[in-house]
Amino acid sequence: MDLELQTLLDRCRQGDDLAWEALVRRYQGRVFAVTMHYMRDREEARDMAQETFIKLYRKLDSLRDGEAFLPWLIRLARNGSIDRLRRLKTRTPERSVSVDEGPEIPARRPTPEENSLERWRAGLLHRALDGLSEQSQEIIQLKDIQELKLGQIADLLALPLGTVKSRSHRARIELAEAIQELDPSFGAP
Amino acid sequence: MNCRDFESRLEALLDGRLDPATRQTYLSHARDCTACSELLTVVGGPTPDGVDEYLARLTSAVLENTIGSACGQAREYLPDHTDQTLDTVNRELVELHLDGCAECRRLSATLVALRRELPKLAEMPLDGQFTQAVLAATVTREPRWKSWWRDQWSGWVQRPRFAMEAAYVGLLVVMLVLGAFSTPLAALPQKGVQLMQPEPDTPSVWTNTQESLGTFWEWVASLFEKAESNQESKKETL
Repeated sequence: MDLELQTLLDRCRQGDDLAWEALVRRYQGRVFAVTMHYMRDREEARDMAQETFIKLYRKLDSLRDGEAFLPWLIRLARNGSIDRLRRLKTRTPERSVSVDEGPEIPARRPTPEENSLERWRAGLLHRALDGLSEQSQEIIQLKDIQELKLGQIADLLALPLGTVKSRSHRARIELAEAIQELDPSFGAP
Repeated sequence: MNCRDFESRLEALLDGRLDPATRQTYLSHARDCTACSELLTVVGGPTPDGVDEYLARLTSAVLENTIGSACGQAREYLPDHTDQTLDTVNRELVELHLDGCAECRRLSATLVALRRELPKLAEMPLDGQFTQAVLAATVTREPRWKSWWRDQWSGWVQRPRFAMEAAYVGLLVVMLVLGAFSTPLAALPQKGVQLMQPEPDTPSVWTNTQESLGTFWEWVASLFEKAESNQESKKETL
């Protein structure tokens, strides 16, 4: 049963532990996907996701309502990840965040016995995404994966709406071309 | 369509000006009528079965000699076309382009597939212990007001102007404590001033100092006088 987000948020504000647990369960996958996008390391991303929820818990009284909640949560996860990355880079300058540390990506098309088609497609998308610039990856993550609106992304990245729109278009075309190179049959009817 | 209509529209076919429905009717007639089919061959036009290919080649030739290719502009519109946010005119223009451009058609199909597939990456699975770890770090740890207060406090203290602001606030507090007429300490500054002032019947520190200085100068003057009288007596004896 899917509880309405507003109900969950109201109950969380009242200090309802069960509602808080439900909220964590509902959004942990999304928060982890965002932190994973920035951190590129499963353990670091997991820690960052946990930290994001702890911050969220401390800010329960100032939680945004309704549609504004998800963009706000993503902003919290994104900003936290970027800060943590900066700290990590300052502490260990030789550390380089490699795209190879990302999620497991199959290098070839697996047999049906090995994996499902869905998983293979996800791997293909991750490989194509890894070939894009960081800027394009971020805009794809926010616009096409997390499905934020252009205005919300403009607020989040502190960029003019027109810039966000043109970057999003460019990134999608780049990704489509990268996918076609990897698998010409992708998207074919 | 009869043969007369066919002949009248032959030029339009060769120029690529026929709309798709008319072209379809035209081709059906050419397939059924041997005379019209031969006529089409004589004028160097396409065979009924290859007319689309012929027209495509014609369009490419015209574009090559004019603007080069319209693919660049089509690509700019393709994301909006995929999102169905393109206005009517541009949508029809893009669709006409897609009818004739296999490469852009493929790109458009990929964009449509991406629109369907990308949101599936919005969530990544986490192990079951994650929720427990978050709950352990939040619910059972401490009341929210405590963590809120700690966050606020560390935020304040870590501000660069904290020392100056603390001094300012401290001064304000002292002024309020000593300056407000309702506070029991209101008379404290006045008492302090009174303590500094001498009582009327006792000599003040300043008076005592003046007297001491006067005695000192008198003593110095007597020394000079003695010295002068000694010198004069020496002169007289000489």
